[in-house]
Amino acid sequence: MGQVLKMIGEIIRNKNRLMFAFFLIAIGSVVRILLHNNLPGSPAIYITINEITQPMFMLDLFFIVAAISIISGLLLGGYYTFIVPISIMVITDLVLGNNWILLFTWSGFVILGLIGYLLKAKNVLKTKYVPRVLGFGLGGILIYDIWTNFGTWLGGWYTHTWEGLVLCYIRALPFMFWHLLSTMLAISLIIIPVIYLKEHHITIPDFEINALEKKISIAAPIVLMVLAIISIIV
Amino acid sequence: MNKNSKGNIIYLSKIIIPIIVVIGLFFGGIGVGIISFDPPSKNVNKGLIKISIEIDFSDEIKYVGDMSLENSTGFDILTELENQEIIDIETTYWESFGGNSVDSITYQGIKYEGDLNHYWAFYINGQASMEGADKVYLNDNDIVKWKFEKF
Repeated sequence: MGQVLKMIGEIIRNKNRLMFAFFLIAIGSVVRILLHNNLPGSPAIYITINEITQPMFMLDLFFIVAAISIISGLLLGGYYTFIVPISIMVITDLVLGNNWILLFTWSGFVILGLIGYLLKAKNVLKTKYVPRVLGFGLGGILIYDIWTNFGTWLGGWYTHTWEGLVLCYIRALPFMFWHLLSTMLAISLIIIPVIYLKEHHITIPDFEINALEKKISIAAPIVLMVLAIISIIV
Repeated sequence: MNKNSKGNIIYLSKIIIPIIVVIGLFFGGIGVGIISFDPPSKNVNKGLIKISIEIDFSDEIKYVGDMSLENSTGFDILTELENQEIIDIETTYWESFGGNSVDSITYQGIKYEGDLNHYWAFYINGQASMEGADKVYLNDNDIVKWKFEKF
């Protein structure tokens, strides 16, 4: 209890950081809700793997929450690696609805926040580290898709056999291709101006993160992943 | 070549080489036919196909019939039966899966609704379908079964 109060106290004390987090949560929530029913259909490009033909890209709004999760980890770090993604998902899921998969998607976005935070720890907001940021982003998206589709398979959307698992991942490919394309573009569009500003001596605030906050930020996605598995099994 | 320009080339190659690889894979995919611009045909057999249908409502109440139709999935069978006013269905579209789930089927005034203990299972030719009914394209003489099952 004392630790929770300490955490809340620290969040309130650092108002700049809090305001920026609110801004990210507001942007993510509003855009996801507004665009939810206004996505264009899949472009007429089809891919055939294992005798299954499907559209190459299935459009969704993953990239908005994903890019904001990575940015929140990269610029804010600490508690905000999980507060920002989970807040966006809770607010928008309350409006749009979700199902048993929610703990998998939420933990997936928190993993992306943590990847952004790991990059922050390496002080990568420099031009020479742009490939590294994009590489970590790409790796994070792959982890998200592998994790959430494992949840889809575990939750019974496909049969619990090796063939069912393979089919699940093949059916997920159009989403994965779109996630990679859209999110890499979104990260590039955000991170390049941020680095430009930073290198031209326009102050981007840097926040100090204590050891406890660091540990909690790393533990958050692990706890969520364990809860996601338990929610399916129990 | 000085150290600076060598560093710039290495830096740019870290961005450009992956982009070239992705573009190469895309055009390579088109070349070998994995990637195409023609929409897939829903059915292996084109034209009118005949489907046997069974809906098992679990308490010895069944609907059995057959249907002739074109270009359809297992899910389309239910919407067609609804159009014929034999059943009423409630479905949910899941954006995260890109597919529909069947929430309830109402038959002869009784609603059979999925809950924590029940769900609507889809079988094709006697086998539990490995994927959602709206992803399974039907062929001539297929046997489609929807069963209200307990977890």
